[in-house]
Amino acid sequence: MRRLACCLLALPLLAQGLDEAAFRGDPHKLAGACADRARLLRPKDAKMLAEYGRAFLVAGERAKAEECFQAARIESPKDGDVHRLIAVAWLRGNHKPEGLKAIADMQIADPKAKNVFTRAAVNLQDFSLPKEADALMERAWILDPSDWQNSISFGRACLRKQRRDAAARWFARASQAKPQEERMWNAIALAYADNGAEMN
Amino acid sequence: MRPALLVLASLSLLAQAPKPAVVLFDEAFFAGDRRAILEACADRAKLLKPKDAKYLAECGRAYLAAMDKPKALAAFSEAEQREPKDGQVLRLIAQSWLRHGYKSEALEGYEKIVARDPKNKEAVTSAAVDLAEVGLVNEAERYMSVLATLEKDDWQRFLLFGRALLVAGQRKKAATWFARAAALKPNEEKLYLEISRTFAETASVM
Repeated sequence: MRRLACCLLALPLLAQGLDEAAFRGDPHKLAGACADRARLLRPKDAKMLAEYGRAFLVAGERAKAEECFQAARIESPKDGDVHRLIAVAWLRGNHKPEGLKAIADMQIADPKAKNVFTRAAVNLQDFSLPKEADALMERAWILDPSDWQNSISFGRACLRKQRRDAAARWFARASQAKPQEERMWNAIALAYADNGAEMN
Repeated sequence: MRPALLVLASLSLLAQAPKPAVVLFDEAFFAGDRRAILEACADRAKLLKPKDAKYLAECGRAYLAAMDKPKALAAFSEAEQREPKDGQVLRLIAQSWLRHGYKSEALEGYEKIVARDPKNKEAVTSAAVDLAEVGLVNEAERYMSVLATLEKDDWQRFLLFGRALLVAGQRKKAATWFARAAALKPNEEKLYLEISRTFAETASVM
């Protein structure tokens, strides 16, 4: 019955078109409105739920955000990337304790996910939490020291934050892992070319 | 007799010539001079796989960042010779020029995509996105109109372009493309997720 009521309530929203004028409005409200709309269309994908939560946090709707995060955790409790996305949402909204809690949950839920750890370490670095980032990246590296891509990805994040020495350590590790790999040398060169900035 | 003397003379010269320093790619090296790192890594990458046009183009970008324009030009022209009609390669070259402030070389490079690989939707969109990101909005929109003639319903690319405009601070123009994408796919959750993500990420800079 409750589900039916929700669907009925959602119908008018779904029927509304979003025109150019709507997209010119307040960005915070837009983030929330689009997240509302997206959530109504497919509420069961855990990663998407985590991302809607992020948009709700930006829109200042904490209760809705927490609801999304909880639904995401229930949907995919063992998927480290879901916990990472939740952490990113909190950190982006300057909620450090909640963010770090989600990072801890991620490590418990998916303790061997080296790629997820690396992505989370990059996120922590980008949010200016170098100590936490280093510790997590070290853990990812222990899981697979031969993974040069992860080392470069983190080294690149270090460069972005002007941590030249930390970047050097990770690039040296990458070059030792795969010295005959041209993509690796290219990736290091481009990391320095872009000063670590993200490129499309 | 004379050629033999010449050979001997050049042999002694070779023996005297300083050997190129062997680069030790350790932590100290990577913490050192940025230009030296760029050049050495690009050299090494180029030596290991010189036949891949995309890598050559990227090596060229590294040389450009190291301010070694002659080496960059050589890498770009080699890449272009190998794949003269590959829009992705042409885009990488143009993007390198653009990122390093060579606007006319970049615009010339992007034009080659339309001239040589006109149906490459990805390369044409990338050209538009690159140009929008650096504020060359009119030029960017021209490439989007090329794309629209190839496929008028490509909501994902419209979204990508709207995002680039939003990141570049072009709110009104971004709105046009978001609305266009939303009109094409009003019931696509990924569309709304992407727009909400874009606004969430850019809200702090507005």
